[in-house]
Amino acid sequence: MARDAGQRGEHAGGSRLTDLSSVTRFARSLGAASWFAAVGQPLTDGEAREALDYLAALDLGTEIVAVSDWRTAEAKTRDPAWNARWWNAEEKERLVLLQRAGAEWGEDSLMAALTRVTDEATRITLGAASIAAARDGVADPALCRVAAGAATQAAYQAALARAAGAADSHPFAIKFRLFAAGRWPLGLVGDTFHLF
Amino acid sequence: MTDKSKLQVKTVEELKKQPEEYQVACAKLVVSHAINELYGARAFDEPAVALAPHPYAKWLTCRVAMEEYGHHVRFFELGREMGIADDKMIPEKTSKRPLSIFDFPLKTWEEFVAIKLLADLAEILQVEDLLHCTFHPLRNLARMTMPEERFHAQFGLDFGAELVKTPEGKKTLQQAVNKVFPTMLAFFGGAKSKNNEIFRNWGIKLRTNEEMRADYINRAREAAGKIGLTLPDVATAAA
Repeated sequence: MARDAGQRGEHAGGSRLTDLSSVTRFARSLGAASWFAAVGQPLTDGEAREALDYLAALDLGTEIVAVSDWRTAEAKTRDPAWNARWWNAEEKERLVLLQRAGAEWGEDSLMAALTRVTDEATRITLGAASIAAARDGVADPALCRVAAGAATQAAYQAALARAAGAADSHPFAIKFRLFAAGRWPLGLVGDTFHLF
Repeated sequence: MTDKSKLQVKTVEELKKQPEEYQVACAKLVVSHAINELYGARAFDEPAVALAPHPYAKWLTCRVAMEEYGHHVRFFELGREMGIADDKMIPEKTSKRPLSIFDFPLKTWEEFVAIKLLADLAEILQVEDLLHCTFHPLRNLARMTMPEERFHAQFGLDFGAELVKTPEGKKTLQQAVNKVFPTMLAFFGGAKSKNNEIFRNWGIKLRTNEEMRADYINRAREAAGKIGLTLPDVATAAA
């Protein structure tokens, strides 16, 4: 995800960068997301539907489990039975989008826009995760950084989907909406999707 | 005439009024950090996401990559404020060679853990030496960066402790340490470095390269020892 500082701001883009304004707006909107505010809460019907849509879009399982606390969330992310099929499906999708968006906008402009998103997400998400964990009595800098890393990745993926002109039903758009609603999708363990 | 013993440069504006040697010395350090922080993120942290064994490690590595990149951005922005051209602070646009450690061909998770354990410890020593720097914007940047650098070295220790739980994991990590450690000794520069002499003369840095290297070897040995590993013989030879 990391790029260089020269790809940020006015020095990076060239004229076509303005055409990626939806990604720039998306970067600005990240501060308004409810990062980690709803972790541990029971899932709403709408969230469960979103999770199912996300799984269907990646051709993964249909079983969803709500995770209720930070320590269980940590255990799920370290579970030896985690299913790499989920990570690989996302990665495959990312590469498709990257190629499409790169062809459309040019690599430099695209990376400059995406870098704004990851910069902003990096700035915001660790504090949000730390506050949410502290509220639940957890003080674990490493786990909070894991959560922040996951959130930044989701923001990057959603921005890439926008840049590639993907629909709101794209799995990266759905995944980001879950984060924006205060959730943390933890991925697949076996064939079960865990949502914190 | 500048009294070096009392020199404290509080702003970039004040820097511009200092002797050229001082300005050049500060610029060299800012450029070096800007390049190497970015190089580290690209050469090691980003590729390591794919090597990480589970989502916890993958996301934590993502975060570390972004923090390293953030360090680059901080030094880059200070450099820009100082009037350093952007091109001098971005690896592919400058002729300045990155540190030799970045030539290390990262292939495994164990190697990445060894790099975090040993290379980020070396980075801590470099940043520590700037904590009392007479150029305050650089000093403040070092102070801001330090907690994250400590966390990155701790990352190496924590995942190292996980790996050594099995004999096979311990053996592979020890092999990685044996490969990474020898590349680290050049990180501290030459024994008779003219740059280092200038840095110390102006109170920009505190210690000689040799002092830092010796301290590094001791602290690297201690860090490796915490998880039951040893350093290869090159440490003894260089000590």
